[in-house]
Amino acid sequence: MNKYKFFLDPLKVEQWINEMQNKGYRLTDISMDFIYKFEETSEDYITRVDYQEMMSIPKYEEYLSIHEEFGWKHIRGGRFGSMTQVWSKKSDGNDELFSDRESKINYYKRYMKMTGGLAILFLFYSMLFLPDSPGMIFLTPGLWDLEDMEFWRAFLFELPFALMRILPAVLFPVTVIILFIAYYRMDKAKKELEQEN
Amino acid sequence: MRPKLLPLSETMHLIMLALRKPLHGYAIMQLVNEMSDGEVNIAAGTLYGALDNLKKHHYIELISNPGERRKVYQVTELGEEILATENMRLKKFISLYENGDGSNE
Repeated sequence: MNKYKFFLDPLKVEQWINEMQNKGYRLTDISMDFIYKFEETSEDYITRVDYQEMMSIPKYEEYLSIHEEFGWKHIRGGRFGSMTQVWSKKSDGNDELFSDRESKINYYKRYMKMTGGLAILFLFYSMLFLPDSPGMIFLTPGLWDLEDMEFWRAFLFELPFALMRILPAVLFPVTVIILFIAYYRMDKAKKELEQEN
Repeated sequence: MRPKLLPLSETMHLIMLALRKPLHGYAIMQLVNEMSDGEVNIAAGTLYGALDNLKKHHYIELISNPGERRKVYQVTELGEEILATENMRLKKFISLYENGDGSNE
């Protein structure tokens, strides 16, 4: 069974997957951040999400090996650090990836470094694509001086091209907002953790 | 100046004590659990992060061959020195507890 879902909050992904797994399903695959594949099962499975920066091949092997020794199955991820690492296993009481406060705080820090870095990159891109003035989106010479039918014909003809030109300038700020929301959530979770005790 | 990571966190301290003999990931967790009378149950991600950090400071090393699936670690000579330093520090603490003034009798 495929489920299509997109999350702004990285902490909600894990929560949602585990809610699905409580209803008698098991996560088997994730593609492109929004296609989640589940299959029915009578056993309890638990999923945890991690984030790691880029790892060398030997380091990545250690990362996989240690988690697999503990019974975790790598559902998604890679050594290049551009996506989250998703781990699943049959629930056995030791269902966390992190067992002390220090390592939990480090996890949030890694996540914030990634989202913060991406947000700044996208912010930079969105500024590159900003048109100088609204008129720059439509390139038909003298378009704004045409009248009635002539204007509408030329306007509608060029509209799809104009939209393509404006798309990056719309898309990138949206991405920046999404990334800053993720950053804020992680920062909040980290601060809550630091204030415990 | 104090060496890096000192004083060791509880997790790192127990991992280093366990790694005075060569062990792989899951066995480290089991021994640490035993040494702490079941109090400390290290999770996979925490263990990976701690091993990575200790390795970066050359307190422990990976001793299994690169091709082997199971990764085996052990404390280095520098690691032994770090443990000796921690041992001294903790002995000092015990004397503070027992004598109150920190003198060694």
